[in-house]
Amino acid sequence: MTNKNDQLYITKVINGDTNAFAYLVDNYKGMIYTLAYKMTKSREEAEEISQDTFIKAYRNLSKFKGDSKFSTWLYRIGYHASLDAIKKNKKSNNTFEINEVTFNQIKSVEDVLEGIERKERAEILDKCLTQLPEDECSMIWMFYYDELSLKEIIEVTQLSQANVKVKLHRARKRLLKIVENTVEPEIINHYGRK
Amino acid sequence: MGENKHIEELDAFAKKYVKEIAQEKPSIDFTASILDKIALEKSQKSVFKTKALISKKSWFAIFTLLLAIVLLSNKYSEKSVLEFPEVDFSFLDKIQIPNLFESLTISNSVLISVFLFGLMFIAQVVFLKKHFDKRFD
Repeated sequence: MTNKNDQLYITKVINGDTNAFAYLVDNYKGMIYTLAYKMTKSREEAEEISQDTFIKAYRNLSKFKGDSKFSTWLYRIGYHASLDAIKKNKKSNNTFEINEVTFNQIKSVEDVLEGIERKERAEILDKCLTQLPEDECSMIWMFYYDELSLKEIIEVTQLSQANVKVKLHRARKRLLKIVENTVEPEIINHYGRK
Repeated sequence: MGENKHIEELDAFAKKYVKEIAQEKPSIDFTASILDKIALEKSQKSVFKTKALISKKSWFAIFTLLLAIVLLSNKYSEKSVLEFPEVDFSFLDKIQIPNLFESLTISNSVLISVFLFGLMFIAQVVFLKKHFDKRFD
């Protein structure tokens, strides 16, 4: 299951070559740091969490059996470390109320987003994503950005399949609602011009 | 059917736009900092590495020797070393210690609940250990 290169470096580290761990850190630091940042919304905390994640991974590398991808195993450590940090700081996002989504709603938001430059659009989406509650934000990130399968998300979060599906669906709806609220003035303008 | 269509549309929406978001970057010295921490941890481990004063082999030899002495002395001497001298405990009857807990009665339900609490406490230790170990499997 594990990538051959990863396995090679994991074996090297287990055999005492500490420097081989740099390859694994360099490969996955962006992934773990971004997940921690999306969940905690703090760069300092994300840096600390992701460093702890790699150190924990190093200490427990011999326990990694290779049944799953190394990235999924790392993701699991990072995800739980971020959850622990959130619990410790008792930080939680205010949630947007979610109603049923209509086709027109998706269409009008899409129309406005298409009219915005890619870079700016990505910034808007990023801001909207961080307004989601941390569990929903991480679901969206894992599924759509890092392209983890449902099975892998279940492995990372240790939630049931039904629970993951519900959370993912709720997260998609809430994200659309937040994006819609953010670009609402543009939508009004857009349809006013028509 | 309509709900499924909405799920598909929302799925396509998220797939299209979330992927456009840029990945965050940690600090420049991120990897070096982790390697430093690991090296420090490793050196501390080697500095404070504890070594048993008496090795397992020595303990085994000591235990075997002691056992041999006891068994041999038992076999060749008339009086066994395992025979303890008789002690007269009758003096205990002469000492009268007041029973402080005479009036204390503990009901069965209290005893059962204390027993169950202990049982659950021990079970939790095992359960928590498994839970934390599982995180790294």
